[in-house]
Amino acid sequence: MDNNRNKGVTYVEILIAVIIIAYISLVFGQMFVTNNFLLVQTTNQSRAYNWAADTMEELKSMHYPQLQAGLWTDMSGNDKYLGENTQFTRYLNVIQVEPGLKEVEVIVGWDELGEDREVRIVSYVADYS
Amino acid sequence: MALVGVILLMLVLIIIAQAMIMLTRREARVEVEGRLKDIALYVADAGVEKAIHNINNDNFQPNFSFQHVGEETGGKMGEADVSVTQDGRIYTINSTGYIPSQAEAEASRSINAVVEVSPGLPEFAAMVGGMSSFAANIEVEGVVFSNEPISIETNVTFVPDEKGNVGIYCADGSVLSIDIGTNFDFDPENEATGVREILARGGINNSHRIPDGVNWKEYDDSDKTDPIDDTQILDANAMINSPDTYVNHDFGGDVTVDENGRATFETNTDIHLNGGTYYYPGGVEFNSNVTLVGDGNIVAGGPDEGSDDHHAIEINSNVKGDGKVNFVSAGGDWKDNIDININSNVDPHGVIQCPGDASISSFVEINGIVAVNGNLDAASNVAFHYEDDIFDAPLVDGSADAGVEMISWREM
Repeated sequence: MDNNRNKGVTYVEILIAVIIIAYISLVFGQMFVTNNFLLVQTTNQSRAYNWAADTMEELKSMHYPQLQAGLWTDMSGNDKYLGENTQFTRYLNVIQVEPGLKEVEVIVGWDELGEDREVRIVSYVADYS
Repeated sequence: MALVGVILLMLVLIIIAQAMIMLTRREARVEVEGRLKDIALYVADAGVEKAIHNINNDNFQPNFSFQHVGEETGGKMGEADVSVTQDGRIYTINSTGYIPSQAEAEASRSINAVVEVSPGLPEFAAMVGGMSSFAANIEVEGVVFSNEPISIETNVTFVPDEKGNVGIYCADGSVLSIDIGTNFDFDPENEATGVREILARGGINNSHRIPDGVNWKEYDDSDKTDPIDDTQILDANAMINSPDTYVNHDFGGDVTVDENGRATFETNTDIHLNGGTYYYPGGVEFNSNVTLVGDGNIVAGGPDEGSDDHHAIEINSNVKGDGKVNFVSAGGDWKDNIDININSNVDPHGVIQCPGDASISSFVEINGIVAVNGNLDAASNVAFHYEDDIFDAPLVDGSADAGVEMISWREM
């Protein structure tokens, strides 16, 4: 009799195991959701920053007089970049702070799960002549 | 036993899961910090550019905090802490960018930049090594410097140049260093934003004609009235010896060169200079109604050249043109010691330079710099407008162009 009692699992054990598995599954599921969200966020930020930095370098390499003050809607015929599942938009703003010195702003914005996000870089360009 | 096994297995999985979550979050945080550091680098670079701007505008500051990076556009981005050291023409700039501020920095990066500053053109409408004579009704926009006495006749007006400066400086120590005529108008609208002064190393005759509010001084001993050894700005020899310089170029027959090597630009012709430098060793004469099209340099004469009948550069009436043209005499022994003689109704845009004397007739309007190492004689109704946007030419200090050149740029 005693040997028979020690064989197999009880309903209580199965119940506890199911609860633990469910809990662990929940934790794992949450982990995947969080990781996926962070991955998308980081990827978008990297792409946006790289585009903003490339644009800033391009602006800073221009001759000072070419850097016309004002809000630039387009620089190279492409002010929108279509990434995977994401669309980035670029804004350029040049302000004449004083004669011979301009403030340059590059913003790359995108929509992330219904929220507006952006990367902003600001620097100055002086007239070397 | 099975339950214990399941629990242990689950514990192991939980630990693995949590480790992965922490790892991912840490990676994300490092990524964000990296972005902030990248943005801080651009703020530091803004500090470098601001320092270069200050240096280039004679506003050297050894240490300053640039707290407003980004404020002009979408709001403050960060602060740059900048220090600058000077060794002659070399400036070393150290700039650290902080996000969002130096006091509460979340990220920072530093840049070390070394720049060389080539002195710009002197800020004088006329810079004269000898005596200066300004006849009636002359207008000067800018600053005049003369080593020897300055004579100013009636109705002469001085107004500020584009940089807001107006002034008269004389290095002559005699009692008649500056002689001021009647109806002397010195910045009558009080528009000067820079210097507004008259300084003489000697006496000023009729100083009561200087308007109130003007900073004027007789027997001044400041460095502003130190004599200038050589008023030459452009390097004539460098232009003459350049392989790119055209010698005795005839512009397709519109310029004739005689047996003495003297060139004559023919009357009623349009001459396309096309950005070139043209050298005429035997001197050059522009006949009336020549139109100079495009920018360029005209160089004439030389130490071994000269003529009793001609000047090194002679510009007759109505020589016009929209181009920026520098007229440079390279020296020689010319008629009446006058290197450059400009007749009426001429409006050059550039530097007028000669080691000897220069004579300018009525109704000439000069937009540039007159650099005469001898005497300057300006007839009535001449206008001097200081302008530093001249056609490229080598400067006497050896630099090809004035301005700032980046020698090195590196992150510290």
